[in-house]
Amino acid sequence: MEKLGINATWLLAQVINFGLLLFILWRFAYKPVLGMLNARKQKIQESLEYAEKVKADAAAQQKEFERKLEETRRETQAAAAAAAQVSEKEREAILAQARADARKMIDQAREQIEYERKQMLSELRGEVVRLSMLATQKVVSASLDENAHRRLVNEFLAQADQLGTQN
Amino acid sequence: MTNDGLRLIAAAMAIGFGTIGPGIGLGLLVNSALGAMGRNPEAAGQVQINMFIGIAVTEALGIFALVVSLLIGFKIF
Amino acid sequence: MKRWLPIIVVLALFLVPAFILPKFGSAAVTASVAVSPEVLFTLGPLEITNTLLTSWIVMILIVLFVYFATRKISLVPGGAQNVLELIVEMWDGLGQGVAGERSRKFFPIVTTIFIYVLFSNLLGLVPGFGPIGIIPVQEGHSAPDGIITFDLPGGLAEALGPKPKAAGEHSAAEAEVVLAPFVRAPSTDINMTLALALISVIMTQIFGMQVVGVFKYWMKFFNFAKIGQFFGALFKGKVKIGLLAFGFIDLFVGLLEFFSEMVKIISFTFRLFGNIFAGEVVLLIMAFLSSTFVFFGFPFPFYALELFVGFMQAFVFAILTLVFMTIATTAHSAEEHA
Repeated sequence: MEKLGINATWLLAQVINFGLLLFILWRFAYKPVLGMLNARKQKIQESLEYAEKVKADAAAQQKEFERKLEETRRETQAAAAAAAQVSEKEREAILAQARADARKMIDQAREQIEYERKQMLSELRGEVVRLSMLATQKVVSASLDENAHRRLVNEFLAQADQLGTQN
Repeated sequence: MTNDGLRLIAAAMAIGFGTIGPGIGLGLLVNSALGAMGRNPEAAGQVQINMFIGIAVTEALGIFALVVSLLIGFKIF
Repeated sequence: MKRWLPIIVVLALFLVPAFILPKFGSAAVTASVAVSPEVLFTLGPLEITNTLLTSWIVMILIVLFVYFATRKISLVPGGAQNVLELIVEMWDGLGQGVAGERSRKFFPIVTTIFIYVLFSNLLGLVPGFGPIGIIPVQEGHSAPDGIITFDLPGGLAEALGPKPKAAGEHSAAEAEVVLAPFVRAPSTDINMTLALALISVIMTQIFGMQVVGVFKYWMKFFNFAKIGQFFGALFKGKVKIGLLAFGFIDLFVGLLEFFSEMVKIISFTFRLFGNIFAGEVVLLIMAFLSSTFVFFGFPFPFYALELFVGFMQAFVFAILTLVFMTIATTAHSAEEHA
């Protein structure tokens, strides 16, 4: 032991050194540093949590915004669709009106034509009667009086009418 | 050959031969520990701790050789 | 310029010693390799050795470091606070990983061991620590060649330094050359490493007794449980040979564990001492090579190696303490459950 340099006093001195150092480090290094590390850990955790919260908020806002956007889009679409429907209906109505008008006008024209035809026909008939009376008068001026003549022509016309309806 | 010369040779042999075994042992130990760590990196911490225990126990043999060598070399016997 | 710097440095390493060394005589540099620390002076009953002095220097350095690190302690660290935090956080993390909840108990001792051993190991590498010291020169003799000496003023020489050894004990030449460096790394003194080993192992036992219970803890070493059961059965008239056999095995295992505690002290002591002491000797030999081959580059790689070894030994000492403390506070109760 002597030759290895082991000596009770020196050994004890080293033990005391270590004890002293342990006390100093414990009191002045580990306690504050560990406390500080814990404080920092807490702070970081808080910051992280705060960041997480902010992130969540932002995400929620984003979602809300998207939802609103979607809603607006849908509304616009609906409005556009409604407008289209209304205009379609209007078009239909106008068209229908126009068609009805056209039909009415056609009908009126047709009636007019019919009326005119009838008028023409009656006029023609009158003319035919007059002409035939004139002709007959010329042919048979004396043989027949006015009344007999008229009767004959009317008979003829009635036959002709009959023939006309048969055709 | 003097007594001092014999003593020095004995001290040198004690440490020289005494470290062969622990040297091989440490090589094997660290080899397999590193292999284990490479294959399973998640368990590296645990393997490392156990490796240190193994190193301590294995190295103790080499340290015995050192102690004996010192005892012989410094004429303590 | 930067590219040429290494070449200039190497050339300087060759040329400077070539000019300086011949003035001293290169081969005459002698040094001593002594295991026991040298006494510098006596303070009352206490002989102050150079390692003790250096350990006080180490303590002062640590205290200064801690002072500067914690002077303006803040959440945003800077400078020394970063380093201290790195060390504290490393051991806190390792402790949590190895010991879990109990790590708060072990943390101060383990971390103090790490810091003290690290500073002691690294301080020994400061250049000039080895070769500057006191050399006792006998009346009528002159100092060996290659050593520059300054005479101490009369009274101081009596009070300071190792006395020249009596001629009968050692040969005169040997007694002359013993140089006592003023400062020497504390880790190269067995007293320091043994003190740390004793503290580590004894605190391990104390923590073990605290956590496991005094009686239960010592049962690990002197396990008479099975033998007791054997005799209990014997009184009832039953002979259980198996119990007796296992009882003796338990007793033997317990004794082995007890001796392994002793071995722990030895291995702690000599692992640190051997590594650091051998490192210093290697550096010394490299310095000799430098003067013999007139090239000052030899110690460089070994300085790098010794820096690593110094850190590694501090780490190993501390982590083994941590692991042994963890084992002492768990293993036995785990065994009981198995």
